[in-house]
Amino acid sequence: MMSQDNSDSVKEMGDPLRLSRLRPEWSARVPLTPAQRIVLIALCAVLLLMAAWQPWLTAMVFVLISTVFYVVHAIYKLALVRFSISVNSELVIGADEIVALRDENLPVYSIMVPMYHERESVKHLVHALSQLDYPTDKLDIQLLLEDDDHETRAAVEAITLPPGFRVTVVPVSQPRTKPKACNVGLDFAYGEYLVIYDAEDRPDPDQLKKAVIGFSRAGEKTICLQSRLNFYNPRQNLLTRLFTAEYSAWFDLSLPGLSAVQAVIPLGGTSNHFVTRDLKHLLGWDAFNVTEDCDLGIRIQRAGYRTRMLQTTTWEEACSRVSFWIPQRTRWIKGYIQTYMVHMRHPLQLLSELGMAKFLHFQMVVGCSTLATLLNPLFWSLAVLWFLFRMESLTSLFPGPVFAMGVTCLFVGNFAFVYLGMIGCFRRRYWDLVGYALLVPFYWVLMSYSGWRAFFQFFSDPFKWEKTRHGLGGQGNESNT
Amino acid sequence: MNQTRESMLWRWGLWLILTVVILAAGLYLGRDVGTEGLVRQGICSELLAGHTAGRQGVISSIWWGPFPTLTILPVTFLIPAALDLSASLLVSAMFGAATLVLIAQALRLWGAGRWRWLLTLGVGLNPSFLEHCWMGSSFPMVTCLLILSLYSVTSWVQGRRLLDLIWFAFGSALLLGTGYEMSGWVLAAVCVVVIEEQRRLVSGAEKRAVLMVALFPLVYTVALWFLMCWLIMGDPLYAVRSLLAAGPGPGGALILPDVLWWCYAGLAAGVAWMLVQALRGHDRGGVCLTVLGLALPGAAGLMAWRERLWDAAPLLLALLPVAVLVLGHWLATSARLNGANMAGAPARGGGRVVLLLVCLPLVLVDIVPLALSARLPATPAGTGTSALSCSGMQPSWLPDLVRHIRLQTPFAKVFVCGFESFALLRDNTSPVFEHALDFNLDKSKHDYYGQVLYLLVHLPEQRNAMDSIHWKYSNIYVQGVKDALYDSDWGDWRLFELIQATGPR
Repeated sequence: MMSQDNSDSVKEMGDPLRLSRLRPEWSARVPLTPAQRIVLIALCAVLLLMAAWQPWLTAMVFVLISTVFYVVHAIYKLALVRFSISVNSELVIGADEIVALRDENLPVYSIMVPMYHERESVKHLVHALSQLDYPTDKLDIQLLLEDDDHETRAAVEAITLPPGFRVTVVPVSQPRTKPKACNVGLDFAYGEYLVIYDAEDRPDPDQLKKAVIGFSRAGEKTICLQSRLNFYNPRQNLLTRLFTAEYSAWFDLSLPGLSAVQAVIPLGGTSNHFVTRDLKHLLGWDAFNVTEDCDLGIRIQRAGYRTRMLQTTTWEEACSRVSFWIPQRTRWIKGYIQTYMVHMRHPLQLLSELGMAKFLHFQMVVGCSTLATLLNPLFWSLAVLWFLFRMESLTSLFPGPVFAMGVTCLFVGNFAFVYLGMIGCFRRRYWDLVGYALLVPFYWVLMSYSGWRAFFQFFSDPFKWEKTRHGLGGQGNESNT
Repeated sequence: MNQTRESMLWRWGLWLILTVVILAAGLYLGRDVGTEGLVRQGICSELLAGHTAGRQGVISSIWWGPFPTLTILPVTFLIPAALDLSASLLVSAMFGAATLVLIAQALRLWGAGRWRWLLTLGVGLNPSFLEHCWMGSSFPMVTCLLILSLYSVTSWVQGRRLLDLIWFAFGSALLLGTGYEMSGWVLAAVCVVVIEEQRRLVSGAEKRAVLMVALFPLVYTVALWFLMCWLIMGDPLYAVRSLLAAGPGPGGALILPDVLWWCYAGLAAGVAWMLVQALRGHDRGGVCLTVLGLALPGAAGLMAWRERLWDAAPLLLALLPVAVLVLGHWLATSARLNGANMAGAPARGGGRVVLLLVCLPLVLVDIVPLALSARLPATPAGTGTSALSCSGMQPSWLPDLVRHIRLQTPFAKVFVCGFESFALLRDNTSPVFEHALDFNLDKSKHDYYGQVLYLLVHLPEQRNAMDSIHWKYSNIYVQGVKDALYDSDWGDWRLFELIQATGPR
């Protein structure tokens, strides 16, 4: 039985696609603008002509540009980690500060949990959210259920929801994406602050109180706090171990590094805490972007606001099967491509809004990460060909300085990225996983496969939301919390 | 501007200023780049030109570690030719400045207060230190990495900060990449980390994790070196063959004034005394620091026992900065124990006495070699006397050698063996010469069938004795080898003519 059902009110809600209607230039509704199409086609044409006219020279120039790109990217990533370890840019909230909070002074906190075919997660979700250390009368928890998702609705109806919970039914309409459901929920959210959780999430119990203190301490410009994400099933199998190594490096090293240099922060999928009023001013999420979180992170910066990292963790379920992991990663990379294309529609405007430093950070974090995933297989193939067959013709692709840079990337760059995984696990105190980070190169192969899948899907089916299946990793039995 | 960023800017600014000062002083005094600097620049030029000799030069010998060369490589590429500035000199100055900044930074963090400036100045004014910065030698780089490793491992033992462990991991791995000389010290440092982990009451998984993070870069460096040897030289152990094949090295005294030996003995004694103090005070960081400080003369002693005292030069020369670091740590620790604030007021009693009695006299005594070097051509320790004499000029006999060979035939080819060939042939565009780091008599005769071939071999002394030509064809310099007949002497080099039949192929 539901404590509250505002499905009737849905008729009165605002437009969940309002961003794409009011600010179409900020939305991925049109994946590529006509100008972008022309530029891309022109680039391809020039490349093909060059390849036909001077194939070897074209290949050499391509290798040169790619090698420089790899060197810059590797240095950038290492610098981020250096900053993240040496400069504590995260908001660290002490236990004494939390104890000092008085319940009556706490603001109402909205929690939104979009769910779709998550029947098996309902009980555990309700239990996890009930564990939050926050007064019930100050909680506004919305379970966002799709109108046609009968199984999840039935599972929710079958239990008694604790006080503070309510269900918001999202009417069936296109696109069928999580950000659209979140936009519906945003209209009904009345808390001063708002946070998004996924159905399988287990946030640290004191997370909301930390966020309240964090917002009060971070200053007016900070309208978003990103919690760290990690997994409660890191040791389920090799894939979850490698996934954990990657996540630890990203959330415990790279994002704090970005925060330290005050760069653009692509938000993680869940546990983003917002100032509700400001989020509404930003028109919520882009319903057409399949990594709406990343896109919102950039828009926050473009609007002159700031995101900071909050030292608290939300525990998620690591995808434990390759068959589910690849679609999930495909969606993420496709979303990054969407985000990059949306914000690069007017590069000069982006430059003037972000400033040069943040503009370059955006290029590195959103653009270059994706490009590296796509380029990697090509250079791995070249390396393998050279090692196996010692093809001298390949050597001529790498004249003196390019060869030096290429070797540096191959042996130093790859080492650095493996080492980052080790440090990430070490920092997270996953002692036994430090060794598994050595196997991360195999994981990169999966990433590149997903990257190319995303690349083609961006053109063929840009709004397709490949849903990640949860509930395969237990429900937090292997708790690290 | 927050404090961290300000401190970082301050450090970088200081580093930049010191680099410029060291560089300007070197240029003003007209110091020439030494043999090592010339060799490494030569390797870089060959590498940038895409020649095999360059690739071989980077990895084929543990006596010429790859890291200094690879550091000089981008500088060689980036420095405009019009500047006429030696890349190795610039890199040496940069690392020399970095060493000073690191010492000052380490002493600040340990709480040595204003005394850190005096101690850092002691290192910065040390004539040997400056001389090596000006000669473009790899010594400043070795010292910098040594100080980095030493400081970070001590800080790790004291505070167990992840960043310190990472710095130690990279510092020690790169130190090993500078060459063979520091391998003993790196091994000692690894042992300290392993022992430290073993005595901690934590899970086995955590101990393993610490060791993996600490040692992975080191293991990777060694594995990569072997892999490169296999790919470029066709033998994964090529770089260490000289050790396996050559046995005890040919004598050769370390070219240092006698008075310096007393300095080093005094420094070692001072560090040993501080080890006793650290043990008495249960100061684990101090024990780690002093033990690793003493590992330097220890490793030098081992090399002396193996009759390779000339290898020990970097170890002995690095002893002064390390001793200063140990002294600063000891001063800070004793001041803390006595309740004195070193930042505000000088340390009391013992500290000043030690500082005056140990550190400053050593700096002053070291002026002697500076005075000597003002009159004599500078000779880098560890490279010994050379036909080039570090003068920065090409030897005058090189054109004569070309004429001598052209008299026999205009189509001769001279294989110049060993690493000093890069210094000898710098700026030489004559097609007569060819670098031969991995010379093979039969293969050369086969590849240059019918052509008149010569072999130019350097006197096998000190580091040159470890060139592959000497362990592949032992005693070649004295006795020649099958089909290689003595022709003539050119400075410290000896020319052999390779005899081959000239019948139809």
